Amino acid sequence: MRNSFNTAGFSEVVHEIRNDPAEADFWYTAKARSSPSRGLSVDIGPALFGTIKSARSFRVEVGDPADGPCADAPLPLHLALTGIASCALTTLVGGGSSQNVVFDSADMELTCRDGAYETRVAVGGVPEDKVVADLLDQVEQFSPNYRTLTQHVPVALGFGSRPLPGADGAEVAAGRTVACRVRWISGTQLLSRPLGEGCGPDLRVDAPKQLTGVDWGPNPQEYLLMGLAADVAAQLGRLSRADGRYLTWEVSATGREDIGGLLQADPAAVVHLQDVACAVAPPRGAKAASESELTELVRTAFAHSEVRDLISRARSAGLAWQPQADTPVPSQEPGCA
Amino acid sequence: MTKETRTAIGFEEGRSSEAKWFNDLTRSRFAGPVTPHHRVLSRSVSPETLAVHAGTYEDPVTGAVGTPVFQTSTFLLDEASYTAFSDGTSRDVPIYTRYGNPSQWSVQEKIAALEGSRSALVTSSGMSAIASTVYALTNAGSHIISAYDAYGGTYNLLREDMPSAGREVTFVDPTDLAAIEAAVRPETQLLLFETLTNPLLKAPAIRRIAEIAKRANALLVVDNTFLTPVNMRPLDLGADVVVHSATKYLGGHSDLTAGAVVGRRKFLDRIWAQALRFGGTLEPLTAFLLERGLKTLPLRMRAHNENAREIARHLAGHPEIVAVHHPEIGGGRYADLESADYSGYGGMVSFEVRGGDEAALSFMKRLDIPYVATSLGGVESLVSMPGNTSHSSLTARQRTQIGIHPGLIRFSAGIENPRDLIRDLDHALGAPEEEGRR
Repeated sequence: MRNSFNTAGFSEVVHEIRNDPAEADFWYTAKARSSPSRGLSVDIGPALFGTIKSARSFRVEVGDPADGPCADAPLPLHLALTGIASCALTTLVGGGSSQNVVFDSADMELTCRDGAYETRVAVGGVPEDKVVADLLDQVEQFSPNYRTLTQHVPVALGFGSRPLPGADGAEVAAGRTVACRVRWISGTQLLSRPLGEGCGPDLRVDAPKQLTGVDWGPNPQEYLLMGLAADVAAQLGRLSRADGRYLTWEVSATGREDIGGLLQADPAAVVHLQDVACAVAPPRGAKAASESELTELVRTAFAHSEVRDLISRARSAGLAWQPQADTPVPSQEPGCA
Repeated sequence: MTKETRTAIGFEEGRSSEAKWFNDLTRSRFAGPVTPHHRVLSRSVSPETLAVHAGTYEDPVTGAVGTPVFQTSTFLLDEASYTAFSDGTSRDVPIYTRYGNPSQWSVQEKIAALEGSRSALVTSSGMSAIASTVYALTNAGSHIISAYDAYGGTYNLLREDMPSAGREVTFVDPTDLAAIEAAVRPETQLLLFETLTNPLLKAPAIRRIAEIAKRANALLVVDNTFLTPVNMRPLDLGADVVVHSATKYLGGHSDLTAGAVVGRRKFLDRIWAQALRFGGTLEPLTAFLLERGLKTLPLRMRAHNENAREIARHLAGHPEIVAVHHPEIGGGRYADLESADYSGYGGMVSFEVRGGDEAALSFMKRLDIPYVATSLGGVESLVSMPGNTSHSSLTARQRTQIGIHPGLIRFSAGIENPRDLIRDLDHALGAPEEEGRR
């Protein structure tokens, strides 16, 4: 298969959702847990692709942003950046494969510097620069996670069974730099290296086998939601510890992708993630705190989440790419920055 | 021969070199794979006609009225082959027999037609079909629900291989709908049940189980080996995929080993890819034997149904028989049977001989007509004891829990004259033990 990308499989999805639009709704879930004794971790939940469930099991141990430079684990924002950059590269290679373009390599570095986002893309093996430039234009339009970065996407908040409306408007400036370098390997498989000291092992990205992948890792949408769930959970842990309460928090993040947007099977389809929601479960061992105190704490944590801010606020990014002659060929094993 | 007639219908329409994005791609899922030379009939045609004619390869060179045996492991490479490799459509071009062969496509089309579906896959055995289906349709991290008294091969696959493959399995009574519903988890991805169980002929409510599966966004896979599409079409009742040990009734002559999977290409293409990686290819010569056997399936099933029913009724009143298990006999197990979903119950009848296992062994030795052998579904009657064959790995307590009591015999009625079979049974039940007859 060209670029090891199953073009026929994507073509079949295009025609399936034209006949049955309900099959275009893809739902993703991530569940994070912040524990005073066991730290911060995030799992994916079963995904639903139209009527087909994909129940894979992936867990990432996450560094707490409050701890500063992390100890052998990526930060929640690393997960979110991985989701955005890997989605952009998958869109690039997939879209290129549909045009019979053959790639040697495709890399993307995505940096968040004081709340502003910068990109750097390198593409190898495509002889015509115009082809790459056109493809990157299409990525900017049709990559669901990249559009989630550049568009305003509301994020709903719930605590227990109650919705907490109007909580996603706050701007967050973390005052630091977080970056990832994502490398396309083959088909829907990519490898993301969180840049910086002690940010843990590379993160594997892949589509589920229901969507032509091989279950090598969570998919790009799941990484973005993992970042959201982990970040809110981390903020909850930090704030409750500051109040002298050592609580275990569980946060679930869900989102819907209309695959018709990426594939352009329906030109009216929304490309970015939709129905993004964050649900916080009432913490165990919180007897000393009143419900109103906990509700306020949940609101504050949500407002302070930089991944929530990344999703809910429109950003002026742009895929920065230099024609091949000016671009050094990336090494097969990118080093830590 | 031109490439248009060598490749599957739909392959050429799916080739596109002008696409600028995914929405310009032209391949959609279609039936088959079948070439224009394979005979495709409307699914509304009667089973007897479909069994004879569906899928036949009408050879444009010789005019043969039967499907030729494409006894080859490989095919000439051409532009279509290279396109298939490039686009990921190698199921639709004869390239290599492990990927696909017109002999397989003939029998696949016949089985798909009989089950009322658009696509099927044949494999090297029933277990190859089941293993490929289970692996293809689940992910590591998922959960499966199946019957604690499923066919031994299926049970062993689920119990012994799924834990190391990252799948959890919950085993339930297949007739206990509340237990099935209670077993559902968020990660439940597959429900795997049989239309009629072995050896006690429990009849799970497929239509109701399909509803549970739909509510859980899980897939229902149904093993239809015991009933065949002549007696039940599970896809019509809401199942997503049907599997068969084609070794049994579909082949029908105890002369081949094969499996089959039936359903939409959305699932079948993934199962095909899994089966070819596992190496579960059906040999062209065996595909020919299976296709030939299938031509008489409806005729044979009528005889199997009638013979088992006659035997069950006769034994139900016999003083040497403690219990008879067959839907036609009724009883509490079949109180909720949706009889409208069945056209018959196949050739199997199970019964308990008074006197336990020792008496059962003696009884089998006294039988003249059936062979004492495992398997089922052939034209010849076969008889065996589950306690010392298919279910011998269970503890005595486990056997009792699932209802396999001492003296249980499984009788697979063939298509012989039922009067001869009943006379033989009466003789064996009534005659004193006579060593060395079989």
